[in-house]
Amino acid sequence: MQAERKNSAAKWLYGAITALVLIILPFVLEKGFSEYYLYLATKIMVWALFAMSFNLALGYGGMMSFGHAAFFGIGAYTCSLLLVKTSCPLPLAFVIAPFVAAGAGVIIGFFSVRIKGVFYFATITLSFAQLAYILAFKWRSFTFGDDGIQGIPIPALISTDETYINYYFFALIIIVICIYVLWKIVKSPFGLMLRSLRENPERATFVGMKVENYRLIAFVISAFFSGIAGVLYAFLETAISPDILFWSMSGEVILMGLLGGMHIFLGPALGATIMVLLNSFITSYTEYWGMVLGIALILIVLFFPKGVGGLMLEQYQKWMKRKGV
Amino acid sequence: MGFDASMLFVQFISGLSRAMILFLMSSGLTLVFGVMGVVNFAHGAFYMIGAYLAFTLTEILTGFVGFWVALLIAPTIVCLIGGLVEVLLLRRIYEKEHLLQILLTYALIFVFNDIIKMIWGVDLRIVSLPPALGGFFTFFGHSFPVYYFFIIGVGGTVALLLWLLLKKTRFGKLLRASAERRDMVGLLGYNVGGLFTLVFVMATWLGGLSGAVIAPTVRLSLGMDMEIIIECFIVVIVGGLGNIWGALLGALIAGQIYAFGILFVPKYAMAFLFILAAVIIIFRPYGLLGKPAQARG
Amino acid sequence: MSFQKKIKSLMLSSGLILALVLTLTPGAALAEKPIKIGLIDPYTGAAAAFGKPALICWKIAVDEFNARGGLNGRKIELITRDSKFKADEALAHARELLLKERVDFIGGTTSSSVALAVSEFLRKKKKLFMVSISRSHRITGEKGHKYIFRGCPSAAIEGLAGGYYAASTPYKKWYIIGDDYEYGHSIAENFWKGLKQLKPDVELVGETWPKVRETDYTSYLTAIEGKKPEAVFTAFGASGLIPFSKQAKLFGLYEKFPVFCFGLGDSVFPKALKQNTPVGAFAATNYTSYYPDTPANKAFVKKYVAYTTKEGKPDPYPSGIAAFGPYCAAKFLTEAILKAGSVDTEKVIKALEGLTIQAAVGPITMRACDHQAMTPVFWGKLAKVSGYPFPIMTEIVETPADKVMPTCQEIVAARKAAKSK
Repeated sequence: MQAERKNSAAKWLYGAITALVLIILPFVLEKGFSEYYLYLATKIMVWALFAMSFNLALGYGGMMSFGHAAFFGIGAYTCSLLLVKTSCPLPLAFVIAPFVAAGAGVIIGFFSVRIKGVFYFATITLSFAQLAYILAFKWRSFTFGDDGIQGIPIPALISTDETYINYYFFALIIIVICIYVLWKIVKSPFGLMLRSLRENPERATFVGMKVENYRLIAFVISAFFSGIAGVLYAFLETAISPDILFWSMSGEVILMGLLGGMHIFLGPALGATIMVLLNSFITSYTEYWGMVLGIALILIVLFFPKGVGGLMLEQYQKWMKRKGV
Repeated sequence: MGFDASMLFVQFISGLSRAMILFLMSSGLTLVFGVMGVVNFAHGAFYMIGAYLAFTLTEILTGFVGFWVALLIAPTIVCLIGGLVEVLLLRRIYEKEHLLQILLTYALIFVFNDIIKMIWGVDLRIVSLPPALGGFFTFFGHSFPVYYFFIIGVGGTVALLLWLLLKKTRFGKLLRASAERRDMVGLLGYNVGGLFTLVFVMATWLGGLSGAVIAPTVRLSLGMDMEIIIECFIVVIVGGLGNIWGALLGALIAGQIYAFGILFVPKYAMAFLFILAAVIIIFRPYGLLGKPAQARG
Repeated sequence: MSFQKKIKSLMLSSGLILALVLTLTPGAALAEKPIKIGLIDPYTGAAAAFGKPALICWKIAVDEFNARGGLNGRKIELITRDSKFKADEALAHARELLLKERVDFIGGTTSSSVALAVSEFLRKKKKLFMVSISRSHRITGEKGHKYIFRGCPSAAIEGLAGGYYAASTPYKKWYIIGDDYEYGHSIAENFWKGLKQLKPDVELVGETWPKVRETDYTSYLTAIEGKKPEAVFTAFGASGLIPFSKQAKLFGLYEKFPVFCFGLGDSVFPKALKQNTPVGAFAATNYTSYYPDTPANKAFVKKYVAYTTKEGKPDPYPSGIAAFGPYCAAKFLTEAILKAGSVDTEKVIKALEGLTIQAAVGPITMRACDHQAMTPVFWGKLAKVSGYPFPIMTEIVETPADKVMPTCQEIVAARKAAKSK
């Protein structure tokens, strides 16, 4: 009992420290370094949300989706098109977008969740996502084709024209709420069931549960939060193009999940952090950024197969044990 | 729209030549998966290396000889590189999760792209055709390049050789056996490691060959691997992962769908392949010729 | 593997990566308080062949500026970033260049959609953007603004000139095929506009837009014949022109139809296509090393050869799209800095408006109303000429920019319409 209480006290402490760091961070970055790092920090958070939403499907649901760019992109496009083409107020557009993404999740998920083969699942989700990409690319009159959408109107309150501080906090609040909800879902009976289905689908059917329903719900929730990440991305970049619906985007988020560790709740966020940082720093130092990134990934696969997050968790647990003894 | 029969025939041939390139690529992909259980994202990189090697070889040895030498030597060099990759990297992760293999082969794409950039630079490059293959046939007022018949011929020959290999040789039986029951091969006393290396070398040889064959019709550029790899994955999956004949069937379908899609609905031609893939997977969740047991991967 | 071992190998490998990065990093210039120009172009991927010559030409112009003593001793430093031919990637770099590197100006961009994305960002940040390759007419047309300049031609100039040129030929039934992206649509739109203006009875019997990075145009080529056009206009750009031309040649498309294509007159494509360049096709570019045969042009070629020799690959045929255009853009910017006597954005803008530079094709002026350089276009017929390793343009028709540029009133109206949309 006492140990537990101590444990929960420690949790609160860690939580408070994290919160403090996240609140102070932007001011330190802006004053001490440059606004660019503030942009980068926001970008990391957005990608972290996307990777974690995706991981609800991959890590918890055992569904290797190769089409999550669709939900991310549909979220971004829905919101941007609403703002550019109609007089829809921003809060409403913000709310509609993830629901449209979730709707796409229902359609794609309906056909996909019953597919059990990992690569077949990957391919069917990929196919649907590519259709979304083709539509965005080819339907020039509606989506502006590959011109993309520039100058998405964003109210002054969260505008990034002058400073990224306001937007940082706006994104931070939304992302923290989303991650909290994701955490609750993962820890709920639904989340536990999802994981047991992933580990042992045969047994679960035997108990008489509808495996497909669980998978579909997880898939749609994942699509919903990916849609939110997409909206946040569109606001951050203030311009989007069909590239964000392309399969390489789905590949990138898979990479983040695997890199960080898909069996750890915060793993994908760590993966996102590493990828975004690598991407923006290596590319400024060498045109051979692909070589550096590739070698780094190979080393991780060979030596840290559980992902960077897995490695850190392992070490942390070892350390705790040693301390406990 | 008036389309005469000869027009449809020409479109059919064009679909067939595309199918053959897709088959050459996909056969290697599906072979590696069938036997080794690895989905090789970097397969496209081997195709790209094959194309660049064909460029260098035809620059050194011009004319008809150069082209044939390139067609033989380029895939051979590629498969040696493939062997190295298997021995040095892939071998270490067979027991681990599928996803790690994806990560590893995905990483190789980045590395190979930069190696090619270091060796060949970024200039626009094309491979010249020997004059004998450079012309075109004309039937009923429609023309069709000789070289595309050559591509169809190469594809057909490779399909035939693969059939002979799989049906008529001991090695082929072993391959089929291991595709069915991967664990059995080791129990039968065969050297699984050696088999895997051999299969990967074969697959990368096919990848290199497709690169060398397609080189005279395209522009060589960095990233050309990514342009074809997704289509090949779809072909492999639609046909049934691990099944060579499935890859052939998938390639034939993909080629024709594309050719006729362009004739009738050019704007959304590229969408048909994905629609088809989705539909086939929905109704046959293990591909056209695949077996349900293998679908789990 | 034990943890110690893991850590050891990790340290070893990160050391290796670090060493790799350090050896690949070019030595940073140590000049005092340099003027910084950020350059965003593709250095990897399919369009890298354009980014490299462009960088050489920016370097030529910058070296000329620095050799003259710079701006009261302040030299220009180029900072390059790889756009990877993607809009979001380029935008991220534009942010980094502006906010972290604190560059004074941004230049470059090859893809038109990349240019549009970066342009919108810099409009908000009020920083000067000098486009050096991107062609879409929208960049300085309806989406133009105070902070964007284009030192290279636009598809409005090149396409319209092509349309006028095509109107002098007898063909009435046309087929259009092109890369499905901003540039392809833009040049085709302007070509058709020009053709229709002078010859209202022309008919478009069909059009098709293969995806960018398509590898196999076979089926598109056979489909063209089905529509029985009298002539074909091909609107391909950096991505598709080479594979399309090659496959079209295999098909005998050039024997069967008169083909009009902007880029084929530019050395960058025939250099790669060599004997596969279609003789007899109607082609164009904004600059050639062989026309006009003037001392100014010879001097430019000589300089370009010297720079490419330094890079290990002497190139006596500078490209109009990838080399001359970027040189003009860089020249405009450096001349304007000198003229303004300052790196202040507003002052340099003032200096740029109406500025005339002396270039290899003659004087070129930056039009004040839309910030578009007024550069001429050369259309002609490709033919084998002895002394050249690839077919070059003959019977060249030079169209001066003022004949084909949209008028200032048209630009103002287009921008107004775009704003109210």
